[in-house]
Amino acid sequence: MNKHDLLDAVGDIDSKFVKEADKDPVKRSKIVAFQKYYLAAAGLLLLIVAGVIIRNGMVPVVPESEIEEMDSVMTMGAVIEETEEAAVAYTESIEDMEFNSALISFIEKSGFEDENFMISPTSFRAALALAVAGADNQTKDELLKAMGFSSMDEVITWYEGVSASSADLQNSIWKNTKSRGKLSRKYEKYVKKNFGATAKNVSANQITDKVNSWINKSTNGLIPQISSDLSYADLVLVNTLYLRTAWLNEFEDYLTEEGEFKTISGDVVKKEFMSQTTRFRYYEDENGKFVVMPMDGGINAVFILGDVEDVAGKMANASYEQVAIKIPKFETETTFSDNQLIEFCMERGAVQAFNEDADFSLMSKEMSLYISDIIQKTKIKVDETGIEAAAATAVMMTEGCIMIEPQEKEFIADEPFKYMIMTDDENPELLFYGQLVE
Amino acid sequence: MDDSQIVELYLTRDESAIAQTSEKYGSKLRRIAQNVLSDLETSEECENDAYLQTWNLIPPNEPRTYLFAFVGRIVRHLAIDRLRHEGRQKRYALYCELTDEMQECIPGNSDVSQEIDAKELSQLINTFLESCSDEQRNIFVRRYWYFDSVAEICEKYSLPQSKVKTTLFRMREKLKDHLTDGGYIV
Repeated sequence: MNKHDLLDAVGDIDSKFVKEADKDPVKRSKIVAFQKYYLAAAGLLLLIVAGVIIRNGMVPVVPESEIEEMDSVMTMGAVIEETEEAAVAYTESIEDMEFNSALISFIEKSGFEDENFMISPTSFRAALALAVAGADNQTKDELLKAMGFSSMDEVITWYEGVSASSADLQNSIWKNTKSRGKLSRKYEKYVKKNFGATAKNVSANQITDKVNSWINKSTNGLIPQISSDLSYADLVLVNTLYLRTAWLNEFEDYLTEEGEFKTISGDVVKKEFMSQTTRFRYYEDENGKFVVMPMDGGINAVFILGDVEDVAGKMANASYEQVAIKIPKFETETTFSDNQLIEFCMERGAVQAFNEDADFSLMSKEMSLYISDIIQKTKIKVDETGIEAAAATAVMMTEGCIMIEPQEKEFIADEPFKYMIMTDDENPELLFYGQLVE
Repeated sequence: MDDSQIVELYLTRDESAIAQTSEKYGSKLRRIAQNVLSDLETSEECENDAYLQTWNLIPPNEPRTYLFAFVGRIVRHLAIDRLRHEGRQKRYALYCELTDEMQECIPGNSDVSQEIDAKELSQLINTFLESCSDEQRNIFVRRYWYFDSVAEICEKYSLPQSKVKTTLFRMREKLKDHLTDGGYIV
């Protein structure tokens, strides 16, 4: 038998199969009707997911054979059937994932490719939401588009969804009193109502300490300081995202032992590896594999080895398997403060918000504000008990003209791996995304 | 006109049988040919040849309930035959894609040929398809019987590409196991 015989033999299959495949699929009216809901849910989920992208640089060295599929619980058919209805939701989710993937790829290109990093698209979008709420005309349209939204209503629906998850989102607005202009009352009310953001007036000598201390508190001490000097800014819009969640199946301390981790550059370093063998949702194809580890509060942590594309979409195809997992304990911290986030917005067509032509008139009629800087700091800790992760994003706004100078800049992981932390939904929200490469 | 009436025309040697078949199924048949041949003119030739063969095959066959599958199978074989004999580069690439995918389903070392009974092989594929879910089966049949592209399948069933690709990949693996179990170890 050769491949030609096989193709010929397919031609002679039972005519009922041919007929069946010829039929137009039954439109899933239920799903179509709920499309709006799915879109909203996807938006929310995405924010959470986008919230933090973690990029570490470690790869544990463990023999591949230790990851075994010992028992397959679900048949492929059952999985497919189970996920059929979710297909539309996934499609929507994938569309929304576009913002996340674009951001991840931009950050990688900005010099982080071979470094450990974690970014939070969710926190980034939430901080931008505070800015776009005060923008008008072209500035607003460009920003919305860059954020992956088509209207302010969509932003709010997205935010409502994200804030309903077990991740804690907080927003605040800090106005430097060195600037005489005032914020519009309407804007203050709007951001308070929709994003729970309170606006405060602070003096130039106090603004740095006040903002840092608010962030420190909102992130449970994970991010004690976002910047050592914020006094130059006339207005600071801040978002924080904090998540503390435990493994549903905890790693036993006594099973943690030292192992070797092969970094992206090929060096071998010692790491503490946590282990457990439990039934988890597991997926593999020719490009790689991933395991889905459930966590408290409807969160999933997904660890990815290799280059599995469209993990969110493939979650549907993951089946329950007995998996021997070894994951290194790790802690990683990242700061994006070299204009990467502004350049990302510009690459996506939002230009006006970052120069003196910006129209933030809904925010304040008295000040001509534009965005002069966006900083994000993130931190994650992964250990036997669970995951603690936080992100803080500050959008700095200034009056008048400031030049922006772009700067250049067994599951056993025995090679660089990626991981995702997602909500456990039909349409999962990617809360965190990370990678260990060195 | 329903299939059984059209078949009746063939049986009574009424030449309008061909016109009726063409009217009812022409565009679908042409599409099967065109999916592999990517050329309208040649596809139309295949379609016409298929009508001629159908004319010669009914009787003795009486595909009253499966006329489309019957003529479709002919057009499919004719299109593949064209490709194999013509071997034009662009077209051949498409054919290679399909056969390369089929290669993944062949158990053992495929360099060694094994004489097999074609009918028995089709029977094994039938039992394999019976064991799959409706969605899996339809995706497989659209790809390897109708020669639809992955993009076309996605559109037809409103599925993301990744899902269709994964389903096909998993089904090829499953078919390979099924053929191995059926004794086709080369």
